[in-house]
Amino acid sequence: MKDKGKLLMLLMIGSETFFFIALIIGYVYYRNFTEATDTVAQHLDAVRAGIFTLFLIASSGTLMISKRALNKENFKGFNIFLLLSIVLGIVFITGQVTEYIGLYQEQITLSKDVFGSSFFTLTGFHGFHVILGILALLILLIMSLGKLRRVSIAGFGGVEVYWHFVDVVWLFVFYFVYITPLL
Amino acid sequence: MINTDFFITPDNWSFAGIILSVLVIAAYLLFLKTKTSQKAYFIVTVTLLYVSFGSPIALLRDYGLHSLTMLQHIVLLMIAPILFLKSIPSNTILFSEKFKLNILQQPKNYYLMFWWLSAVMMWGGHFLSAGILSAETGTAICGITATKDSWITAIPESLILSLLFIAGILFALPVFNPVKSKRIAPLKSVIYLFTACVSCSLLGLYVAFSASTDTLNSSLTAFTTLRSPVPLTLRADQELAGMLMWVPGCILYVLASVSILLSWYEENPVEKSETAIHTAK
Amino acid sequence: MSLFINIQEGEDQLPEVTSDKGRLLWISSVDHKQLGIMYLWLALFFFIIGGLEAMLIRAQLAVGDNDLISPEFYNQLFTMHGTTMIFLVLMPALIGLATYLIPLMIGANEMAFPRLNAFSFWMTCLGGFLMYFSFFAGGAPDAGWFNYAPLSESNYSSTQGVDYYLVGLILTGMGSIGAGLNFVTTILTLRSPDIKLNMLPLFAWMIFINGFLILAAFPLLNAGLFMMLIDRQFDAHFFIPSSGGSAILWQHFFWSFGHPEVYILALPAFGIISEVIPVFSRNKIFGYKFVAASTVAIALLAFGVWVHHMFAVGMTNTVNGFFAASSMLIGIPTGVKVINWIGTLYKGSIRMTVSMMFAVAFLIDFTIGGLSGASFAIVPIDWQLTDTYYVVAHIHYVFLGGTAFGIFAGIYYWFPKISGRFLSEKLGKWHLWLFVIGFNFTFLVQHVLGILGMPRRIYTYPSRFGSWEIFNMISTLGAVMMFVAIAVFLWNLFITLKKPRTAPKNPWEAWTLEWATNSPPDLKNFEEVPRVHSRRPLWDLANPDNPDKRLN
Repeated sequence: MKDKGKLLMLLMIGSETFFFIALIIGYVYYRNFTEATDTVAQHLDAVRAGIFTLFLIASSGTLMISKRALNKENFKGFNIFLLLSIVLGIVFITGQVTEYIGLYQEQITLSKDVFGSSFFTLTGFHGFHVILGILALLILLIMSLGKLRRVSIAGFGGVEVYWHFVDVVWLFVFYFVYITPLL
Repeated sequence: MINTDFFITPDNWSFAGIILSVLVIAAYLLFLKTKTSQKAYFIVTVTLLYVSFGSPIALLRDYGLHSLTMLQHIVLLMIAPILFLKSIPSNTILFSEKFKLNILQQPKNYYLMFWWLSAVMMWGGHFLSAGILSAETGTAICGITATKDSWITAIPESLILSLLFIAGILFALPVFNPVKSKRIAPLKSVIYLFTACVSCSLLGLYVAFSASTDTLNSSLTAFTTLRSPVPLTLRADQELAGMLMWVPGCILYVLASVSILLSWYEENPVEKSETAIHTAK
Repeated sequence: MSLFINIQEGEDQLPEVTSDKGRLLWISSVDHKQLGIMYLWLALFFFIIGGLEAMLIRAQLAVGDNDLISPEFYNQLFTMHGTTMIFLVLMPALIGLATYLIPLMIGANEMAFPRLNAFSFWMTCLGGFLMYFSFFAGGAPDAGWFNYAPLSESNYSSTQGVDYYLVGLILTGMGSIGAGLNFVTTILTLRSPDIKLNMLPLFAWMIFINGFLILAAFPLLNAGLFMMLIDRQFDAHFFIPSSGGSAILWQHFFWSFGHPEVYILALPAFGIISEVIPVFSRNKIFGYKFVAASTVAIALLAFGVWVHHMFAVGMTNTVNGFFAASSMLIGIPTGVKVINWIGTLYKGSIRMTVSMMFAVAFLIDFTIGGLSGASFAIVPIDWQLTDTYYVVAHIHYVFLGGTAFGIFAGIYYWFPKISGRFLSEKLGKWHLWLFVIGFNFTFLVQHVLGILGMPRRIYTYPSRFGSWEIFNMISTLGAVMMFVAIAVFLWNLFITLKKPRTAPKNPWEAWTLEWATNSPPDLKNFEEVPRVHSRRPLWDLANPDNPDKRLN
């Protein structure tokens, strides 16, 4: 593969996958393989989280559109859709932060019990990755506003793959944390 | 103790199945020109299919043996398809230019789809089978409790098994395609198999760990000994199911990867293109 | 057909060439050779510290009822000894050799990501020093190198030591992942256009596979470490059974990393041995494809055997049985390698340099370590011997008799390339014999101690156990011999580095590309890369009438 930036990012994603698998295993282990009942699940609002999930998925879509624009050298379209992806990502993070605030008001905290611990650790690490992705996209946006077009094209491949990865990880987190308790 | 009578009673061996198997093998031997090794592969494939569908071993699942279902799944999804593809001669019409089905023509282009399809089939098939078993026997299997009249019982088990076999063939196609030029590159196929291995391991892990949930019932030997010709406690059965998927399942793919690599190390593109020219003439 | 091809990299990819080799140039360096050397110095520094800790442990255990050091300090010592030797000595030494050699072996001038390379090194360095800072911050970690919960949780381990352990390992883990990423991308993208992937030297091939192993194993450890850090710092409950957590889960996380880690440390050493043995026995490696393919088999199987570290946890016979079987299976590819190395020696014209002697010592002692490992795969034996000195003997035969001997073989072999000078063979032989004899004295008897029932990690033992005292004294005397051997090695390094540079390009008449550069290589490794048609490019150049079989 000639694009070593994208290759590096793919490998790192492979590595990160194992990290998230470990965190998800933790959650599933406590819920399915111990006698404890999940105390967090009953306080979660799957519909609300589902709506914010849509925002994150949409941001992946807009990023793909902006990539297409970049390939056609339509820099205006590229910037607009890149900005849109960033905004959608920020909306998702806002949703997560307000959810955390709501849970803390209901006394669901990191130190409450093992489910509080795993919930905040898993979603927190995912949120942290989303924030990193937003920062990377912001850097690309700022660079593309300048005259560094070639650099931004080279960096774009890696960041795009990363952003889709964060998206896919969320789908799994969403499934295991929000959906399975309802099944 | 294992009840051997169950296995030697002729009633438990499907006669129609034997006839069908013999006919299929005879047709294969008559109509297709193949190497001896390929003939052997084909006979083993048909035997495995017969054992999975029509032998007393297939009937064992009526006794709620989860490990047996898992074994069936492994055979149908992972072992039989590879042997089957190895037994097919490369000039079969299915893979020739005349057959205008792109998925079979250029499996290289669809390998990601095949991977996901078979992964979904593996997990989905497992949970459906576990659900059916649970509905039939009234015990919790793999953390699933289904009631007797649940919708899940409407699905015939043989349908799941057949779909598993088809998914297995599609999965193995990019790596073991009878037409060598249509296979994906050796290193790519190692990664393809390894990632599948991770998926198997996770399923095995999940199934094996599910065993610790049901505590008391599951460790009583009497609970299953009375019914099953192969007495296993629920817990041992559950763990056996998980371990079968985890360990031998992975070792199978490791062996496949190593054999692919062994021929790749000696590969010489110059010689390869020369032989290609010779065969073209 | 021309003999040489131009390398495709532009001049500007290299760091600036200046004559001033000041400290700043080293600290800010992104050159793979400088970083490789710094990795090796870092490993040597921590090797001395870890060795001194081991000497203190041996001094304490030399006689029964000894109270040379306090029990608390003893706990800190064995924890730091294990952690240091594995994460701060063997890892940096192997990564350092690989960082130095991989670009040279594949005909590249740099790693794919030079700044990531520097980042990896400084993360490892930072993690190591942070862990040692704990001695000044109230006490070092004291829960053993695998840090089992709940002992390592805040209610049982109240000093800050374990926190330093967690943060330090997270940092070095990130460094290792960075190095792994870099190795894989470098080998995939920067090979000289002639070199196909199946023509890599075995060392490069094993580092390539090892890169994937690092990428898959370290995140599992990091996840566990983060969870425990959150436990200790934010009162979470992951691994605390009394409040709903699971201590077993920590063991699963640790060993699902820990077992692949054994191979992460072993594979590069295998690679070194696979370079050293053919060169010094003037034979092609016997069965390249089996050595290379068994590496892949080991890497894949490594993730399916970790439960054998946990046989004593109380899992059922079904689970134990399967893992016993798979642990036995992983012995097969390793055995294949040993047979191939012996096959390479067969009918070779062997030159007994220090490097070669270390390789032979590796063959013998690593095989012993492998056999004692296989004995642990048998569940009842494991139940009997778990957490005794038998385990200590086994781990040292694998890591010291295996990996460390491999590293020494590599150091003596590549030292002329790295520094342009030859290590003294005479002092080297003193180092070798003292070290190998001392090593076997120290650890062979520990097998017996383990069978006699001496538990590991005990502070002292009653002196009325006469046989324990004798064996422990032998063990301590062996450790003293190893201590002297390392002093000889350091002296050897010290006097050699003061000599002028005399090494020619290819002093050992080796066959891989790194020997086509100057000794030491210029800052830009290759002005032009020789054409490569087989796995032994320099052999083909030296023997144009009798080249190896072409592979491209």
